[in-house]
Parts: sequence; C-alpha cells; structure tokens
Amino acid sequence: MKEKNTPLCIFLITLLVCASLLSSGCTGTEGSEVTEENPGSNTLVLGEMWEIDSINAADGDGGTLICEKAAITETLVGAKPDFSLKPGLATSWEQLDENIWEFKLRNDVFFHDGSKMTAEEVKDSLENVIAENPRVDSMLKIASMEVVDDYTLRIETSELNPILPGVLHYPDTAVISPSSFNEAGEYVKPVGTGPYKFESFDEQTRVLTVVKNENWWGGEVGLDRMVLKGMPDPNTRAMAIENGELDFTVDVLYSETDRINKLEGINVEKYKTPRVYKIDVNLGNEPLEDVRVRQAMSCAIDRYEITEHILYKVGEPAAGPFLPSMVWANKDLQPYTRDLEKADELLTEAGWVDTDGDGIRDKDGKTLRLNLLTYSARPGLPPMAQAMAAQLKEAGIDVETEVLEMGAIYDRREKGNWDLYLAAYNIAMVPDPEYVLSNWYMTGGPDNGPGYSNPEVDSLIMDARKLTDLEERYQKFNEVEAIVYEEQPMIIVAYYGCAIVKKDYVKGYVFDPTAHDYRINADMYIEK
Amino acid sequence: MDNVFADRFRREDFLPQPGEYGGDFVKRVFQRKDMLFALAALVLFAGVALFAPLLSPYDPNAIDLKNKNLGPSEGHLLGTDYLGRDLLSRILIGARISLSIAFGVVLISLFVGIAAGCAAGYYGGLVDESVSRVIDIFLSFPGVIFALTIVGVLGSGVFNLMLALSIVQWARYARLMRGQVLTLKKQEFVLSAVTSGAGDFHIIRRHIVPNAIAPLLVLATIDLGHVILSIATLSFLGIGLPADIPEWGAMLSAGKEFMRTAPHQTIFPGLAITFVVVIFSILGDGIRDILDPHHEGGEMY
Amino acid sequence: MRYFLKRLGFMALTVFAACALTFFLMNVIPGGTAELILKHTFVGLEESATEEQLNQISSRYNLDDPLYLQFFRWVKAAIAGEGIGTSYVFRKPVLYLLALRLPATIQLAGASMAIAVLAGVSLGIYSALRENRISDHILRVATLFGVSMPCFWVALLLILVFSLKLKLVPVAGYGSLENLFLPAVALSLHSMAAVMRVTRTSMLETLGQEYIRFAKAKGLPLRKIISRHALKNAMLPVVTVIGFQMGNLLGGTIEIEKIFAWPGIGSLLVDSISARDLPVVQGCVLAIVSMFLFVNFLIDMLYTRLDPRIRYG
Repeated sequence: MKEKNTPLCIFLITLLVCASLLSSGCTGTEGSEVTEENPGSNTLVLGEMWEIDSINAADGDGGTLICEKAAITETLVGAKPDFSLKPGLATSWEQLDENIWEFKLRNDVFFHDGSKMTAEEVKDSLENVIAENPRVDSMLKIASMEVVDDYTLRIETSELNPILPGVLHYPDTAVISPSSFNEAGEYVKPVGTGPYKFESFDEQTRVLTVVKNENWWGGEVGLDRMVLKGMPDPNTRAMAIENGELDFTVDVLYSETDRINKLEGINVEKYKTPRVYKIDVNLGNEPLEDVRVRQAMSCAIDRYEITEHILYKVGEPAAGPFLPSMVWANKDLQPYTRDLEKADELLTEAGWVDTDGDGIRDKDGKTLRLNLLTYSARPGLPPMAQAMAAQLKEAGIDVETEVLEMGAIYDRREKGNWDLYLAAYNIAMVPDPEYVLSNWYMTGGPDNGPGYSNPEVDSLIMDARKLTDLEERYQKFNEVEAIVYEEQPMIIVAYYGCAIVKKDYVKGYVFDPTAHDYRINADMYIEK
Repeated sequence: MDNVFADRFRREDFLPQPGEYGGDFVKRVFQRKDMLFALAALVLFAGVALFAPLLSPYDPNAIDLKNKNLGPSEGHLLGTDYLGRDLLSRILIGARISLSIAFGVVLISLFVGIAAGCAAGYYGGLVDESVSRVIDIFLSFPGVIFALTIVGVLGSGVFNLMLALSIVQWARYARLMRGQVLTLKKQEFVLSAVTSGAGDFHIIRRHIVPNAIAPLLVLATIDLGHVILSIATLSFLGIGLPADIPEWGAMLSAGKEFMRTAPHQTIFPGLAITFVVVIFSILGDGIRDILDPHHEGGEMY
Repeated sequence: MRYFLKRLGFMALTVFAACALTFFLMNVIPGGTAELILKHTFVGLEESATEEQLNQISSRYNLDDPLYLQFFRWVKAAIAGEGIGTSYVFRKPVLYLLALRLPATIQLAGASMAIAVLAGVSLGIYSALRENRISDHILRVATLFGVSMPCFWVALLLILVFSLKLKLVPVAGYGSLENLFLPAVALSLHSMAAVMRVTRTSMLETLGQEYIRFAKAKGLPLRKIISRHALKNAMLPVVTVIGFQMGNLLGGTIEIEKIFAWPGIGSLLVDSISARDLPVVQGCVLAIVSMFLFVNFLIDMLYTRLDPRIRYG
C-alpha cells in the first residue's frame, strides 16, 4: 500500500501546484486584456519611473502623476520655462490687501463629466486637498474662501503668504470635479479638465489608461490614448523601450544614455530639472563650524568631473540653489571650480595641517574625519558620494560614506550623529524663490538641516516677504544667494538631470523644466 | 593540511577524533582527485585573502574617474569599475571580506541550528513543539525585515551583516537537523544506547550528531556561496555594506547597472563567487562520501 | 483528527507570534514612523516636514498610542473579522490589497516551484544513476553555475537573450503565460539546483544501501528498484528541501517582482517597509507566513506517508 501511495502523493502535490498556477493565471489575464490587445494607432505607451501606487489627485505622488504625467487635471496657475507664473485655469490674480487674494477663472472650461468649471467647484476641490494633504495645507495657509461670482474666487490667508499663486501651481492643488467622489464622499477616480480623460486604472497590474479629451479648452489633443505603466527598475525601462514595448520613458541608467541614443529609432534628450544634488553640512560639529573648512571642501570637490563621469552629463555643475534659467536666479554666481591649492590655504589657515604625514589633516591631536550619509533611491547618489569622498581625501579630509535606508538617515540626523548628508532636493516645489530660501537658510527653517543661522539672511527674507514688486523681491533674494554662496552651509554640487527616452516617431514633445519629473504636453503625437 | 570543515567540527566534538577513524579520513581525502584539487584551490584562496594587501597592484578604493569602466588591459588586468577603481585589487581584497562573512554566517547558523534541531528532535514533546514553532517563524518570516531592522538599529557593517544573515539562516539547519534526529531516534543503535543507560548528551554527541550531520554539511557548503549571493541581493534592495567595502556580492550588485556597457564589472566578481561555490561544493560532496556512516558498515538494517 | 486540530492551533499561534514580531521589529527600525508616512504619501522623500504636519499624521493613524494598545486594536479588529487595517499609502483595506497582489505571487512561486521540482528531481535521479560519468559532471557543473549567480543577474541575462535577442517574450508585464515564463525560470534556478543536489545525494545514499544492493543482486530491473524502493526513501530529504525552498522562493520574489514589474506581494512588502506602511507590512507577513506554514503542513503530511518510522499524534 505504501509503495503505491508515494508516487501518487507526489503527483497530487504537483497537480495542486499546477492547478493553483493555472487558476491564478486565468484570473490574471482578464484585467489587462483590454489595454494589451487593442492599442490603436495613436496610442502612446509610457514607462513611468515610479510604481503607480495611487491615483488620488490629493496625494503627493498621485497628484504629480495625475496632473503632470497623465495630464488629466490642471492647476489654476501655470509656469513658463523661466519659472515665472502664467495663467492656467485662472486667467489673472491680484493681491487685494495683505491677506486677501482674488482669482479670476476661465469661463470656458468643462470637466470631463461635461459639467462646467465654476468658482464653486474650484473651492470644493481646494477644500478637499487642504483636508487630505497636510503639506498643501501648510503651504497654502488658507483661512477661508469666498465665491464672489461664477468665475471669481476670493481667498483669505491666515497670514501674509506671498507664495500663494506659486503654491497653486503645485500639482496636488489641481482642480477636480465633485464627480471624482462617490455618494459616500470617497474618492473614486480623477475627473479633471485636462487634455486627457481618465479611462481605467487596473489596480492589480497598476496600469493607468487615459484617452483624448475631445473638448479640451486648450485646443486639439495629439494622442488618442496613453497607457502609463509603472516600471521602477531603470534597467527594465531601458530594455522595454529597446524591445518596442514602450514609446516613451525617462531616466534609464545614466551610463546607458549614450548607448541607447545610438540605437536605431530611439533618441535620448538630457535636460535639467528643478532639483539639486547638495550636501548638508552639520554646523553643530566642531570642524564644520568653521566657514573656511566648508569653503575648502567646496573647492576640493570637482563638480565637472562628477557630472561628466558619474552623471554622464545628465545634470550640470551648480553654483547656487537655483537654475540659471530661473528668472530670479543670481546669475553672477559661478560653480566653485576645483582648486586644491586654495583648499590647502584655507584649511591651513583654519589650523588643519597634516602633522603626522598620514595624508589626513589634524589639529590639536584630532584628525579631520567626517562621515557622509546618503541613500540609494536616486541612482546618482551613492557613486557621487564615493567620488566626492575620494576628492576630499586628496585635500586631506577623510570622509567615510554610508549608504543608508531613509528611516535610518532621519534617525541619525535627528540625533545629530552625522557630518555630511548628500541628497537631491527639489528647488521649485513652488515656483517662487522664497519657498526654498526660507526653508533652507532661515533660522529654524524646516529644511535647514545644517542648523544655519545668519541674522542678515533672516532679515533679507523677511523684508522680501513684504515687497510686492517682483524685481525688488528678487534683488533681496539674490543677496541671500550671494551670502550663502560665500558661507557654504550647504555645498551645492550639481543640478539634477532628466533623460527623456522616446521613439523617433513620438513628435511634438516639449520638455517642461518646471515639472517635478517630466510633464506630458497635449501637443505630443505619434507619426509612424 | 586538512579539511576546514571536518576540522572545525572535530574541534567541537561533533565528529570522531582523527585517532578513532580519522587517519583513514586523511587517506581518503588524498585518494580523491577532485577534493585534492578543491583543497589546493581553497588554500590558494585563503592565501590570496591573507596576503591580499601585498598582492593587489592598486589601492582598492583609489578612485580615478577619468579611467572608469575600462576593459581588461595591461595596466589593469581585470579592468576598472564605474569609479575607475582597479577591479583586480578589489577582488583580491574582497576575497578576505567575502570569505569571512560566508564562514561566519555558516558557522554561526550551523552551530545554533544543530543545537536547536537536536533539542527539538531528541527530546520531543513540549521542547519540540516550542522549538519547532520558533523555527517555523524564522523560516517563514521575510528575512528582509530582519536585515532592515538589524542594519537599521546597529548600522551597516561587516559584523552586523553577518548577524542579519545568520538570523535568517540558522532555522534551515535546525529544521533539517530535527528531521534527521527524528529518523535516527527510532533506530536500533540509538535505542540500544538508550536502554544501556547512556546519558542524553553522550547519545547526541556520539550517535546522533555524527550520523545526522552529512546532509547538514551538504547544505552548509551550498550556503557558503549562497551567503555571498544574499549580500548581493541585500545590496540590490539597498541594504548592505558601506559603499566602499570591496565585497564580491556588493560589487556584483553595483556592477549590474553597467552590464551592457562594461560587462566585465559583473563577470569577474561573479566568477570569483562561482569559483568559491564550486570549491565548497566539491569539498562538501567529498565530506559526505567519506563521513557517511552508512558506507562504514551500515548499522541501519 | 486530534492531531490535525492541534496542528492547526499551533499554526495559528505561529502566525500570531510572527505578527507580533513584525509589529515589534517595525517599531524598532529607526526613523520616525509618522515622518516616513508623511514623506511617502504627501511630500516626497527628500522634502521637509513640519511639526504640525507630523502631529496631524500621528493623530490620524493613532501613532501616539502605546504600542501594545495599537497592536491590541489590530488583533481585535482582525479577530472580529473587521479586516486587518487600512493602508496608509494606498488608503485601501489591506485585505483588498492582498487579494489584488497575492494571486500574482502564488502564480509566480507556484510556477517556479513546479519547474524546480520537476526538473530538479529528474535531473537529480539522472545524475545519481550516472555517478561520476561525463553527463553527471556536466550536470553538476551546470547546477553550480546556476546556483552561483544571483537571481537578479540571471533575470537580466534571460531578458537580454529571450526578449531582446530572440524576441520571444516581452521584457516586463503581467497577465499572460508569456509574461510568466522569464520570471518563473529566473526564480526557479536556485531551488532547482538545490533540489537536484539533494535528490542526487540522497539517491546515491539510498542506492548504496544493502537492501538495494541485495535487490540488485537478486536481479531486479533497475527501473523497478528505483521506482519501488530507492525513490521512496530518497524522497525524504528532498521533501524537506522543497519545504525550505518555499521560503526561499517567497523571499526571492522580491527582486524578481521589481525587475519584471510583477504586481506581487514581495515588492509590496519591501515598499511598505520603507514607507513604514505598518498595516500592509503586517498583512504581507500574515499572508507569507500562512502560505509557508500551509505548504509545510502539506509537506509534513507527505513526510509521514514517506517514512512510516515517523509518526505524529
């Protein structure tokens, strides 16, 4: 009996495995069939760089995806390539007094459900995102909103908030129709005003499909349909577009951009995005307190070599926190160039000399040894950290790089157990210089990791807040930039780049430098 | 010259002393050509690991961005990596780190696993149930969580990584050992030892462990390579060693980004790992063949 | 019957302990939970968070309550059948997310296991029968190579060969059998090598035993000896190894899912850990541990069948 049972048992197990496999295989196929089988002639398949987790327009990632990458929703305020504001769904805005703003809305905009967009819907939509998203809430600082007439919305802020129009360019504030919610008030799908309409989101495969909005107020829309697939691995994105599964993707491995550009039918374009690679310097630590040490470090780093060999030119050396193309940037600043002699001079002046001949400087028996924290979510960071450590070592500063998980970094930073922290920070979350400068450099600012405090900087920013004339405001901010360029509480290394990879038959794409990663424009079309 | 594994276990009294049946053991090792070859290779690797700083032509961490991603050439025998570091030097220095992590993890897990497995299988009852539950948890629990916790709490480093990997590995040995002990316990030579009044520890040491250990050693040899691969996997997920420690698995993982533009960056560390896996597998097989008590005369049936 | 009930009880206990362990570990991992949730959901990893925003998140998810209370609340809801929490990131019930993602993982792990067992056992037997002949050596060397390459590396190579060079299957995606092929093969390689090794080892061991020699001497045909006697005894360690490999496979799915954009539970787990999406991590651990225990339960049943010397109860 036993002998007979054994093979039977094994057979049964195998059968069970196969059965479970088949059954799950069958259920799996149903969902994605629609999008896979009838792509249509004018369909663009897009390989998105992050996992598509959320299609909620009020979420950080979801909002960016829905507004910028899927082009379903639009914001009240737009931005030109030099980051100055331009009309979006709002035609104009005016600051009536310190805390009261009036926005005039377009009167020809329809939601995808056919209803007209009026001030009432805009108010509801903003109220929703304020309730849902604590970050937007704290940036808008809205106390109350009042519908003056169908196309006029009056906003009262709880305190002076000159960046309000800039915040209304932030994708999470994009306007959605009340029909985005079901009767119970739960968010179901994004119903916006943009060039593309939401068609489906397969929650299992996380594929988002949008179709052309025939009645877009902005005119003709180029594509019939767009399929967005989340592909978090850059290697996979590269191979998928090479294999013809994608028409458009971004940020393949930097080292592969040149190889892929040479392939038949695919082209790669490199752009700067509003994000910088920068090192926070812990000013609470004794050697780094000294401005000369920080300047010396900035002189020891070879920004050109890093952008050339680590970023493969997807990115450029940076001087200050703003892109030179930004209208408010201080154009006089030039990136620190590598100058080991100057670094040596500065460090020697500060008292750091290599007395024991081990190649590392020391002072009063203490060696100049620092740690450099970074994370791996952005592929340029770990190699950049290592390269900079090597460059700093040539100047006699011993730097140990540590690649950590985000949570561990927050923990270390909170406890003050760090010297240098390399990260990629967004510099135009809001297209206004005040946001970044006050967050980074003002005493106690939320992004002021170094603990920098300079009364002059603080008062310049406070003064600028009260100015309504843009030229004068920008003048103040230029001064701030010049001061922090001199003092280097944060060592700004390079501008972040974005590599757009697309098939040659994708035409009409225009890169929008104000987008968070990239923006899909309505004029894109396919010409085979 | 002797086999590391057998040696190690002999020292821990798991295996009979050479005097008892080990003279034979050495003779048998020398009779097998493949084992001799593997042993020679192992000695070579150990030598490389020991004398790596003297042998390596460059500083393994010297970065030279202008000469990055170079293929093998006279100046750099195995080429350079994505930061322009000499690959040969990194692999040589990496031998020491990779091998010590691998041995550390396997030895810790083997020791803990044998102890837990024996306790569970031999004593049965409540002991078995509780140990088995713990084994179940550790076996089924996603190892990533442990690795993240340990590296997160203790920081990244060679020893912490060893700890993180051992915590995941030991349960496999324990389970295998338990299965072995369950089978052996019912067998005559053990039963007769019990009736003759031998102590538990004596029975476990003399009868159970030597008879049960062969499959564990096979598993251990496979694991020596696996551990290095696990490090590669952890690096893939962004947890692992500090970036400038030249460890084979981490090198492999970092090199995958260049697998199409500069494939030598993954091929060479990959070959180094493969080579080590081959050596230990041959040795493991050999140990099994030689130590297998069933071949010795078969008390089984 | 009593044994079954007892066994089920123990399984429930193990699952509970695993959940408690997860809860504990997730709270030990450094990094303020509220901060990570905020950054993952609303702000972006590198951006700043104000005290006010953090407080809002903490109170929304009751993160300031003592840990035991949080855990107790979770257990209570789970036992009462109210579900096992709601994801911070997805804002969906965890059970719903698991129902979406689990089939993909089961499919992938099941296919890999089937490949590993079928190929591993047959190659193992073949190799044992031809011990030390050329085909045995070739097979063993091949497995050595298979086992010494990391999963992600194999996966990338397979894509290069089968998708880009031969254009047989798509690079990434989910849904059809075509999509399943590469990830399943890449994932099965290690387990296949392990199963093969153990099959070979234990086959050799069994074949070396006296009753087999005796049967041989008696003149029984080799096929009959193998299927009747050797296989059964040789299967014992193989079955154990299959149990081990199940855990390995479930762990290995993480990288494979990332590379092939496969919508399974492994990548969900890793992403949720880094986002500190505790309810989802709990849910994933619950699912993975239960799956593992169930498979092992089956294997233990098989074990008793294969070796009558072991008896439970």
